[in-house]
Amino acid sequence: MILVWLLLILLIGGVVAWIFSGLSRWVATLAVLLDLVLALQLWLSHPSMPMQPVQGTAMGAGFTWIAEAQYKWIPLLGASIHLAVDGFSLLMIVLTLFIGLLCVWMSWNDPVSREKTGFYHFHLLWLIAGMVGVFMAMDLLLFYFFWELMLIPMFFLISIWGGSQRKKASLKFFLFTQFSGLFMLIAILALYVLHGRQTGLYSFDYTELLGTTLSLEVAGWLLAGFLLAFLVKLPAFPFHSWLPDTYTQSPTSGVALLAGVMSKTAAYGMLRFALPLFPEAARMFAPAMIILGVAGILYGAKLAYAQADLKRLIAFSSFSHMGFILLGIFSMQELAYQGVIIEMVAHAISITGLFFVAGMLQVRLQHTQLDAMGGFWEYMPRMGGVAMVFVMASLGLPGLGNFVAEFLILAGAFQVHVVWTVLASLGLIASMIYSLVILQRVFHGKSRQTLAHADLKPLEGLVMACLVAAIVWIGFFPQRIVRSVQPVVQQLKQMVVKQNIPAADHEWVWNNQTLFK
Amino acid sequence: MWHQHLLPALFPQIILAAASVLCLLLIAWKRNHAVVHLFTLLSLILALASLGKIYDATSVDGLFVIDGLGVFVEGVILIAVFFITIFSYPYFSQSLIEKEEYYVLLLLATLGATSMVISNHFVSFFLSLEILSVSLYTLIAYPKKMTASVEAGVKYLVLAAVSSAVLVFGLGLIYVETGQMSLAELGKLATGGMGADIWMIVGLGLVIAGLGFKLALVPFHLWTPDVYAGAPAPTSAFVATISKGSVFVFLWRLFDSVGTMSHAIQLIFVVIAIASMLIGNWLALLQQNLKRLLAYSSIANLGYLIVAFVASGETGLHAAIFFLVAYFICMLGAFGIISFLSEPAENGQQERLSLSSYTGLFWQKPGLAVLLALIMLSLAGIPLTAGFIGKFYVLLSGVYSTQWLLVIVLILSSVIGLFYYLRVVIQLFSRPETPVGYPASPYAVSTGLAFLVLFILLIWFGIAPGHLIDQISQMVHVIKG
Repeated sequence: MILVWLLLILLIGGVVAWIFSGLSRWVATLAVLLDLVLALQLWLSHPSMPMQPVQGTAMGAGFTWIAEAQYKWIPLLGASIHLAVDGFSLLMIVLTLFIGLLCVWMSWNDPVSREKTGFYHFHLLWLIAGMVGVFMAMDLLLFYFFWELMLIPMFFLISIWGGSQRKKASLKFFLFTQFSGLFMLIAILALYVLHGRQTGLYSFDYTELLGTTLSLEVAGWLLAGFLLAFLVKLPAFPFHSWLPDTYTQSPTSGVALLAGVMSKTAAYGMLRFALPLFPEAARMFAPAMIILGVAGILYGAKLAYAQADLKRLIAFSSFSHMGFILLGIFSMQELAYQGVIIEMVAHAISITGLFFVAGMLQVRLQHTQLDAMGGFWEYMPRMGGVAMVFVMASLGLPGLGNFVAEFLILAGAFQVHVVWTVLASLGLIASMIYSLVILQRVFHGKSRQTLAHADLKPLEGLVMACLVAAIVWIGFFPQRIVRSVQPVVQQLKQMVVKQNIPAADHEWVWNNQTLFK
Repeated sequence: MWHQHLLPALFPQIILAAASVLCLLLIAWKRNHAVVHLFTLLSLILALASLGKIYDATSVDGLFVIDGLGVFVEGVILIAVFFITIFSYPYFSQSLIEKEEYYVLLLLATLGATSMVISNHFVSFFLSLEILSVSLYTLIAYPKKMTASVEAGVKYLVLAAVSSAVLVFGLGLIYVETGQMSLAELGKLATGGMGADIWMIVGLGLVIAGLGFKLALVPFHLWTPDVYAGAPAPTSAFVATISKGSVFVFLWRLFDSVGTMSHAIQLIFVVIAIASMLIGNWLALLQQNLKRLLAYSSIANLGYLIVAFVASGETGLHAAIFFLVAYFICMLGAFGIISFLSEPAENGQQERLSLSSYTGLFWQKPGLAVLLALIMLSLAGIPLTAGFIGKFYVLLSGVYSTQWLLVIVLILSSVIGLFYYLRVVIQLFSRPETPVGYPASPYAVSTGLAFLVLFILLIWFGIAPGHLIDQISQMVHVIKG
């Protein structure tokens, strides 16, 4: 029941914020804060679940949800409103609400949101609701429903409150994600029909569908449908062409949710649905995916360095980091999975911090061109200090969250893909270069203009302090996160890594364990 | 052959026929727009209420079949006409022409449409088709001083007459071949094994051409944009929804009884569906006129419907009916908004046609803009709206019957479609440099209520479609697999 409330509070809060436009900021704060408290309470009350490894292939029974709710939706078609969370989804929900809350605060005084404030907060809350829904839907049709639902408020946030190129950017964003999403829908439908023909039970329920036996060829096609949606949303190389426009034209809170959380829904989707549903096919695809991941890391870093616009630079740095997530997911190692999950949280926080800094600069300067910046440390030392924390996080300084995550991913991937991991770790050096460029070109050097009273305002200070605290906390106590997701990682390992491969399929799999060891 | 106990089954038709005559008498007695309007609404409600009586009846001799499919679609049609009647009142109340006869024609057209969906015989089908078409000629050209409307009416008259001729010829050939005009008898022949004779194929081909014209499927679609743009907006809504929905039901009945379609016929439908989806969406991209855009959008949507038709079977029929309901809601809402925003002019109503005249509607009439945006999203098949479930259902039926080509084309074309639907949405929400003025309509209450109901239905069927799907699956069955 609490899961339903998590959604309803946001959805109703959105409508209320729209109606009472004058109070919408307070309504939004209240709704998200209430949700965050509920989610945190649920998360903290389950510090570490007992490990219950899943046995055999009857995986439907093996799930131990922290909370679950199931209601009728379209009984005739076997679709139900099945919401459930385990440590992993709950972690992502807490993250979403945390960043959502900061976004509401960040846009408090943002001149962009002053027009139609109520409508703005309506979209913000529904966007958060859509993402929370994605993280708790255990019915594939419902998952697709929320997956698409995220797009609409995001589209409106960009097209109404975005930058000067907002129309083009919002269209591009919507077309790319919708197009790729439709292939996932086809894959879901095909899986549904196949499962129904096999068992006589037509159902969209995830736990039911897990038991479907598929030939490798069919599973490959279905996985391709899922992966297309996830790779575009992540985005992974070479599906990233919507990214720079969308990220730069979004309002600040929109881009924070987009880069911080929405990209994580793709990683979540892979770990939750794509891999467990089609483990053999995933192993078949793994080499290609790892190449895409490494290509993304290096190419993204190169592009980031070449940008003349701060927001574009951050956008490409985010793209580069997504490569690590892809690499981690498809290296199929326990260590790497832990790394991926920490990276999802740490990257969300650090990229949000960087985009907030860019957003605050944009409000003060009316542009984000790097050429026209420099020497801002003199006028805004506090913002410079905060920016430095996130730059350091982004380049992987030990003690901050991203270091732990990327280290674990590389350590995990190294066990199976030595060459690609070595190439990927070059990305760390590249990230150092482009990240320091931010600091150097914005805050250091000679100042070209005087900015009076430009430093952090109290509310902005509070937001940034929350982010800094979070990233440091993850850096020093990653164990807390690892512990809460450990059962899920174990489960994933059971489903994906250790499943026996039928002898006939061996030739399909690049068994890297023997290739490199 | 007359069975008295089956009389209640035809109550809706009897009520509509009687109402149109009474309506004429009412006008002869005293011309009053409001009274005639209310009378029309009342008779529609009466006809709808009488539907409840005939739930379990099965068949009325040879001409009509009363089954769940027919009754359900009759209900949908009557409700849709109810909305169109509501939209017509403010639209015509300001114009100087005589407006009362419009409602007579509307009732007659409804009579044609409702009897078509229960037709089980070539004769009854053709009679209903002609009642519908002849009323439509006049309805389209109703503002007789508007050149565009008259042009649209004449265009529709000429082309519809030709297509009717083609249709009759096709039906004749089938009769020559089988000696039967009743769908039930044809069905019996088909189960006995009907040879794919050349004349049968030619006959069916001609019927497809004739019905394809009424449904505005590519390549029989050329009349659509002109007629939609020229006709008064409430009539456009009628052409877009009711006349297509009723013809589609007969199309389904015909091919359901003729039995498993031969490969040649199925191929024709696959090609028609693909062409309609792609060309409809492609040409809609180029439109600057909202009504023409909706015309091409409806061509594409009928293409999606044919996907469910080709998928056939129980799932296909349920998907098609659900899709039709969602499509009806969208088209009614869109044309309702167009007619609501029109302004009185010298010769009739001046409608807001160009997309640019809708710039920034949100900043002045947020409610209308949100509804129109939702309609566009629904036509594009985005969640939260009925259109999403409709398109999902059609896709499901396509996947179920492994029509992969159609499914892939559906996806590609709906992405093309998304582009122009979103363009409209962006237009609605963008801030205009010089604010466009919108008139304050004096008859906002009933229309506003109608919009609210459409809004609720659009969201309700989008979020909780379970009830509607259950209802459809209880009432609507294919005659054979």
